[in-house]
Amino acid sequence: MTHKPRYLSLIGVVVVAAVFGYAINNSLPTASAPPAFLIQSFEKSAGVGSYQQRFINHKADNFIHSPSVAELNGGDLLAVWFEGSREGAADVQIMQSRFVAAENRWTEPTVLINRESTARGVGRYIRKLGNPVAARDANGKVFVFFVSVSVGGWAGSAINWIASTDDAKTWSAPKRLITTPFFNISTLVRNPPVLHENGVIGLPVYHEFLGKFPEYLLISDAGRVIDKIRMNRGTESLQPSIAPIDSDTAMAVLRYAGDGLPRALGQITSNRGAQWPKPQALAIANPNSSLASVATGLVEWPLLVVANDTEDDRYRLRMYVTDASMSQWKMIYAPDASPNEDGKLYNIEADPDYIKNLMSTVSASAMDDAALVVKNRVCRDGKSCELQYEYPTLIRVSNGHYHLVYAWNDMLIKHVVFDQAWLEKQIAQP
Amino acid sequence: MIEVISEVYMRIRGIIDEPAIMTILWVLASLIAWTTKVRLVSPQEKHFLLWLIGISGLVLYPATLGLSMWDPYRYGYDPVGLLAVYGCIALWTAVRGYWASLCMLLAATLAFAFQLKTSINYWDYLLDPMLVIYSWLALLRLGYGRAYSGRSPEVRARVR
Repeated sequence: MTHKPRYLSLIGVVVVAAVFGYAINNSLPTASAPPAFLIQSFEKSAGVGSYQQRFINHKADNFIHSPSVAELNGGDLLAVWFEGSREGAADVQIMQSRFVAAENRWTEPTVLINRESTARGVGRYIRKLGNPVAARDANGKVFVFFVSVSVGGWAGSAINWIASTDDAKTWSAPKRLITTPFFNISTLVRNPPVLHENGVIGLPVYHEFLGKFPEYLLISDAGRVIDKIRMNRGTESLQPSIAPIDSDTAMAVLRYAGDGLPRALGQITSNRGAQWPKPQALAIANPNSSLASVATGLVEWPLLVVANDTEDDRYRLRMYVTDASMSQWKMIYAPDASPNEDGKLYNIEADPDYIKNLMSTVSASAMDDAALVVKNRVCRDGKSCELQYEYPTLIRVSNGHYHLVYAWNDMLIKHVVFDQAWLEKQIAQP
Repeated sequence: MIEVISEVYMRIRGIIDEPAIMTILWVLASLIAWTTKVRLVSPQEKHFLLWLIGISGLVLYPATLGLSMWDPYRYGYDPVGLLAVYGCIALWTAVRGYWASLCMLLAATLAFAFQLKTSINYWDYLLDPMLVIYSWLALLRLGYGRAYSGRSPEVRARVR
């Protein structure tokens, strides 16, 4: 026993009571369950049954991946993706393009974030950049969350963010989200956040260090993590895509990263994301690839999902709708698919202009140079083509239209827009 | 020169992120002891601190890295319970006269109350992996030393 004057201990006890009492008093206001999901309202018109597609970028020289899209004012959109010489390269940058609704076109892509600007903003060395995610909160503030790595591979990832209060014209300096106590590493983001009441943002993220499992971050409008909810544990579930169905319920689809039967995973929360039951294997296959989902507002088919529904590769991207229990699934359309149903390399010897013709069905302007680059990179010996359509992001905007973006052969970003009438027509088909 | 220092700082921060307040104070106390030979932490108190940090880390890290669905890191966002636990420990250090430990806990808690770090999670003010790993290694060394010194000369000779 250390012998000290008793009055010193008494002073110590009083100081402890004061400091801890102050801290407890200050921490009380944050103590709450997740607020209700904000359910977006849409214009009443279901549209005229339109389905359009276009490319966002028109040069196919770089590796591009993980596109994301968010609604801006006046029907404009913001698309972000990462682009560089290859995935994980030091020259990878986060690119942006704006869809100008009045002109019905995407602007020329520009650099939004690079390693240097991130390092300056967060005060840490940055080795590489990864997935970006764009979103707009209820007050019109636009966020871009993005992955960076300072040490090692993707397991060493952290999430950063920038924000814009002037509709994505100017941006704040990058800031860091603190998501884990272990060197703040191994949290990645891929799919758009969902909005809660009181300005709280729910960001689906995933952990990829000792395990592979999804988590749900609650973030204040000031960009600080205020709660973190584990959606699963283990080594086989990644990249949750969450769609609120009503103020309490949300459905999530997840990428399957295990060694078992390759099936997409699903889970449904009924208490605003506070708890998530163990993910269940769904009826659609998943070749360890990212999925996208959004609520349809339909009672019978409340969730629309875009996914690679194959077991071993990403040569086909299809749209499905599912019921409220995620037990019934209906395939309604394939935005892109290799002509070879079995996923084997597609031989274009009989149709050497296949790539060029395929691109001309998407783009109004000639993309001959890009088509040649795509062909050279995708087709071995100029004939056996390995087609890949992956990493979809799907949102629904104020006018009720759905916007889908995805990586088109890891060289271009394809943007697909369709309305509710088109969706319902597809669902009605036998 | 400034650029080099800045680069080194950014690289170190890229690896260790933001150290916990307790880590900063522990390093400070060690530096003071090293440079002035003034010991701020008695061996007895050091054992207490190692056990406190070691056990805290054992509660926090395995579970938060995915060992279970239970994630103790979450308690740091809504830390009334956690503050009550560490408040009791702080009271005990005051009664016991472990002033360095008391100062560390008070500083970490005050820094949390004023949200001086990027994180608003109380755990991030108390612990970081460097401090916890150091504590585990120090406890292992202590345990080994005790076990080794408690052996008979014959056993010690055999181990040797």
